[in-house]
Amino acid sequence: MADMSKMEELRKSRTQNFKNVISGKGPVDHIPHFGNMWSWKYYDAGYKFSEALLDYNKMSDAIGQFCQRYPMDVVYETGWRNPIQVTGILGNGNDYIIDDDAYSISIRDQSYMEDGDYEKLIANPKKYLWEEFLPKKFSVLKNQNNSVDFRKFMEKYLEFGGKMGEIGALVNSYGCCNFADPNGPADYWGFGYEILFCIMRGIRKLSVDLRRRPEQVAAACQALDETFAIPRLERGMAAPEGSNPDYCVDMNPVMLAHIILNPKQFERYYWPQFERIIKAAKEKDKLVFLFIEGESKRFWDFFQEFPKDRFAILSELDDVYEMKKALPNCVVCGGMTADLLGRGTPEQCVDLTRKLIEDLGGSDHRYIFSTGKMISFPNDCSRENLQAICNYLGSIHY
Amino acid sequence: MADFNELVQVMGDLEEDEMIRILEEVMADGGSQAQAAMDACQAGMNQVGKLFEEGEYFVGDLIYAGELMTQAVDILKPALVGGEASSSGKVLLCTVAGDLHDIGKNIVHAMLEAAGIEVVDLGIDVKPEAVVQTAKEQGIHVILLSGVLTLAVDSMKATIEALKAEGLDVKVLIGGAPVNEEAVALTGADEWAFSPQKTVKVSQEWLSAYAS
Repeated sequence: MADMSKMEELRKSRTQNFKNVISGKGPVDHIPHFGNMWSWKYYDAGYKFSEALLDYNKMSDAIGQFCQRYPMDVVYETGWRNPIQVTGILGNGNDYIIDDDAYSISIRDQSYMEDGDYEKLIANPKKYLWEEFLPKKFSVLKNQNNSVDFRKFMEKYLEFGGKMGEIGALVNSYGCCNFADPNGPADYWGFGYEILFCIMRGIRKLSVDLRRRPEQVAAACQALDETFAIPRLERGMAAPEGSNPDYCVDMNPVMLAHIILNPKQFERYYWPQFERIIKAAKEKDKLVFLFIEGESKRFWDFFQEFPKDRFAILSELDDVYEMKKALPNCVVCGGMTADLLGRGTPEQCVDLTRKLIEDLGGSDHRYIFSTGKMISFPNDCSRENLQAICNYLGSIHY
Repeated sequence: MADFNELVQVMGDLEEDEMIRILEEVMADGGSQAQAAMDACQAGMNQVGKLFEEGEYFVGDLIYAGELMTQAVDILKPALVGGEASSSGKVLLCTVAGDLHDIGKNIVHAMLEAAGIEVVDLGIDVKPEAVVQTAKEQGIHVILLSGVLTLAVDSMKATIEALKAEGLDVKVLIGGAPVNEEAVALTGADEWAFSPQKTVKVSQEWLSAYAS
C-alpha cells in the first residue's frame, strides 16, 4: 500500500478537483472518474455475489482489490447498498433473491402498507411505522417484547456500520474520495415519496394510488417529509455555510421512484423535495450530485431551475449530449456504455472516453467521466477495458 | 343506452368510476352490447398508448390503465361470445432468464389483450427451453421477450438461439430498458420496441402475416 500521507494528499486534491468541476470556482486539473461500479467489483475479485454480501471480509477484500486495480476518484458503492445480513436478521430475508449464476440481486415488489392505512400514516407516521408497518415487513418486530432478537439486530446493525467505516477508510487509503456528506441538508434517505414507492406501497400499488387516492398520496408524502426530510433540511440549514471540504458534494439525491411519474405528477409529488435541495444549495453554498436511475428527459424543464454551478447529474439511460445541451446550468456525468465497456475493445473504450471528454468537457473541462448504467453483471465490463480507461484518464493533466 | 364514445374517452382519461358506471349500464340488459363496449375499451387503451408516446402519460398511468382494462374484461366477460373476446392470434410473452422485472411485460400484456390478441404469458425468469417448449407445443409464431437488466440481453440471445436451433418458424421482438438497435444485432431478434404500442402493432402485423 502506498504512503498514507501521499494518498491523503491525493484524496484531498481529487475532492477539491471534483468540486471545481461542478462549481467552476477553481482550476480543474484532471477529469474526475466517478466509479459507477456495483456488484461487478465482487465478480472481478472472483467471489460469488452471495459470498461477498454475506462475508464482510470478502466484501472488503474485493473492494480493496478494485481500488488497487482501477485507480479512480470515486468508488460510489462500497458495500452499503444491500445490507442483507442486517435485514435478514430482522426477518426480511425472503424478500431478496440472489442469483449467483446471473450475478443479480432482486427484490419482489413489496406492498406491506395496505390500502386503508393511509390515514393512519398521515395522522402519525412514526407511530404507524413502528407499531404497524415495520412489524409486517420484519417478522422479528411482530413481537414487540422480543428484546433478544432486537438486540441481535442492533448488534448486526452496529457491525454493519463499523464495517462500512472500515471499508471507507480502506477506499481512502487508495486516494479515493469520500463522496457525499452524510450530514448534508438532503439525501436520498428520508424523502417521503421515495419511501412510499420503494419501501411501503411498491410500484403497482403506488401507480394505482396516484390515480385512485392522489390527495392521500400527497398528504402521506407531506407527513413523511415533515418527519424525516424537513428536520434534516433544517439541521443542514443551521450548519455552517460552504461546501464541506472532506466530501466531493454536500447532497446526493437519488431518483428511483420517478420512473412511474408523468410530468404533472412529478411536479406535485417530487419537485417539492428539489425545491428544498435548491434552497439549501443556494442559501448555504452547497454542491449537489443527482443520481438518476432510468431516464429523466421528461423532467428537464424542471431541471432548468437548478442553480448554475451547483449541480452535477448522472442520468442512467439519457443521452449525455442531449442533456448537456438542454441543461447548460448543470455538469453532466456519464456517457460510457456498458455495451462497449463489456463487449468492446480497450481501444474503442479509450476512443469513446476521449470523445466524451472533448465534446462534453469544453475548454474548462467541466465534465465527470462515468458509465450511465450501474455496472453490475459479468458482461457489463471487462477488466482490460476498465484498466485501459483508468490508465487513459490518469494520463490527462491540465 | 351506453354512450360508447364516452366510454372511449373515459378509458383514455383513466376515469375509473365513470368506466364502471358505463359498463354496468351495458350489463344491465345482460350485456347485449358487450362486444361493442369491449371495442370501445380497446379504443380507449389506444388513446392511452398515444398519450404515453406523446409524453402526457407515463409508466404509472399504463399500470393503472392495465388495472382498468382487467376490470373491464371482468365486468364484460360473462356476456362476451363464448365467454371470451374473439382473438386475432396468439403470442408468447415473458421476462427472460435471470430477470424478475415484470411491470413493462404486464403493461404490454394488457395492451395486447386490449387489442384482441391472446397472450400466453410465461411470467418472469423464464429459461430458453421453456420458451421453446411452449412455442412448439402451442404452435406460437410470435415471441415477445422482455427484460430490464443488462444481463437480459444475454438471456434474449440465448433464447433466440434456442428457438433457431429447434428450427421453429418464429418472429421475435425484444423490449425493455437495455434494448436498442445494437441489442437486436447482438441477439438476432427481428425487431425491438420501446413503447407498448409498437409491440402491439408489430404483433398484429406478424400475426396477420402468419394467418394469411
